[in-house]
Amino acid sequence: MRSARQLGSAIPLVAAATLLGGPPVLAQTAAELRELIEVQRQQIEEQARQLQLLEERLEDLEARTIEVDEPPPPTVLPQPAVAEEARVRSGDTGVSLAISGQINRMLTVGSDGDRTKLYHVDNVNSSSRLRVVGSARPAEAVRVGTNFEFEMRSNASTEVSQTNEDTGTVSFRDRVVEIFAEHERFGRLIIGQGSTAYDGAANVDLSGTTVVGYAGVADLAGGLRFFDDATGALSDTTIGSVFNNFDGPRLDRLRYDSPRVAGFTLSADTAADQRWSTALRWAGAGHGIRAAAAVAYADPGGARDWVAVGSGSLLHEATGLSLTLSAGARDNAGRDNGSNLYAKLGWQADVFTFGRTFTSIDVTRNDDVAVEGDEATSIGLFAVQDIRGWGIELYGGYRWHELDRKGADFDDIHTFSLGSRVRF
Amino acid sequence: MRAALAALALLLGSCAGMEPFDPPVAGELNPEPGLFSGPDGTFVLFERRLQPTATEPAERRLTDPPPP
Repeated sequence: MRSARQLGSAIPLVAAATLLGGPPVLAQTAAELRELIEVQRQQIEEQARQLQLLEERLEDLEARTIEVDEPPPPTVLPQPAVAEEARVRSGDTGVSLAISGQINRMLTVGSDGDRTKLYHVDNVNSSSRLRVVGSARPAEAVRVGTNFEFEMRSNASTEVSQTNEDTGTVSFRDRVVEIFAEHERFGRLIIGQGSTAYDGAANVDLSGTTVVGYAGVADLAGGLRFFDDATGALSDTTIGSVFNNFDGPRLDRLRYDSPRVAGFTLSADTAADQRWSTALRWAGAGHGIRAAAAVAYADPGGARDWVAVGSGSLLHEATGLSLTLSAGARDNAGRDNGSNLYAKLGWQADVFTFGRTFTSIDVTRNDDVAVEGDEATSIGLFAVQDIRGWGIELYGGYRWHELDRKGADFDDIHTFSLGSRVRF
Repeated sequence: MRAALAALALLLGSCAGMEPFDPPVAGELNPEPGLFSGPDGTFVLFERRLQPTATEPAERRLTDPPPP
């Protein structure tokens, strides 16, 4: 009788096990089947619990999405946390429009050997500017968009001089006006005004002090003129005319960037006035160091046939020590080629609790840039203090400029700079 | 020639163990915090998600311009 009851109760269990996917095995006992059903019941309950969690997360995310028909009030800036949550993630499809920018103002005391003056300038190392980026991702691997970037350099540090301390009212200047399309596997194509392939190839620098001192020596006080003791007057020769790192410009161009392979990116462009350039870049981090490098070759147009530049920077993360090197040469159309050599030693550390401190010392040598036989030398000493999380940098520096030229007796130019860059 | 090839092989070998990253570009607006815009450094004026398919943070944001 007891066996019959056991058999009777086993029949629905076998049927249930069959429905749940397990093949009935006649040799199984009722206890084994109950155990199997219990395990599967627990699995179903766990799946139901996970489904409930996913539904709750989906509802939460939907609640945080910014609706197109409900823009934020115009007088209230969106909270960063909200914007972060609403960000269109990699892998999503979507569209966005965003602005960013910075103001970079500097006071420079310049001494030309005859007079010392105070200049109020916009620091062209990284000028004041505004950027508007529109972007759309119609598919996961594809992104297209537009990039407008304008700068407003009131009293640009490359333009003020001893005889023109106030360059007057300025207008927005176009830096970047371009359309881009990129694919994860096929690379990026850009058309419009913007960086040529070799723009930045001479300026790879991990020291953290580029806002006040980098291989583009002429950007800090390029308009200042050398005082010639031989004539007892200011010459027409400016810092900007004898120091040049031959870095690439921004032009109207069609540019292609390859996808990154093992840290390498190959770029090429063809630009207005039959100019072109190509560059190879690499950046990698590991083994306690960060390193980046670039080499480039270009036809700069005009009477010059070629420009070749390269630079690299190495940062040892544990000590904060960095070494940056840059070199370049340029065809001078019928006279000796111009050349540039640059070296910088940097050190960075969390000296203060409110942000990282960066320091560096650099040396530059330019030959045959403006006039055959010119020898221009510069040494700089710089410090940058970052205010962590606020987008504020405070910086200061000293730079010495020397120019040797046959038939002239130029005094050295000393500049002391103090400024701040604020990203908004 | 052999020395150059050896140097190239050494260079490529050294590069192989490194993780790629985007170095800051001198003089440019690099993706860093802003005074008003917060950690992203950008004000998002308009944003619309069309078809979310992933929830992991992105290495590069949709609002970033192409690097120079």
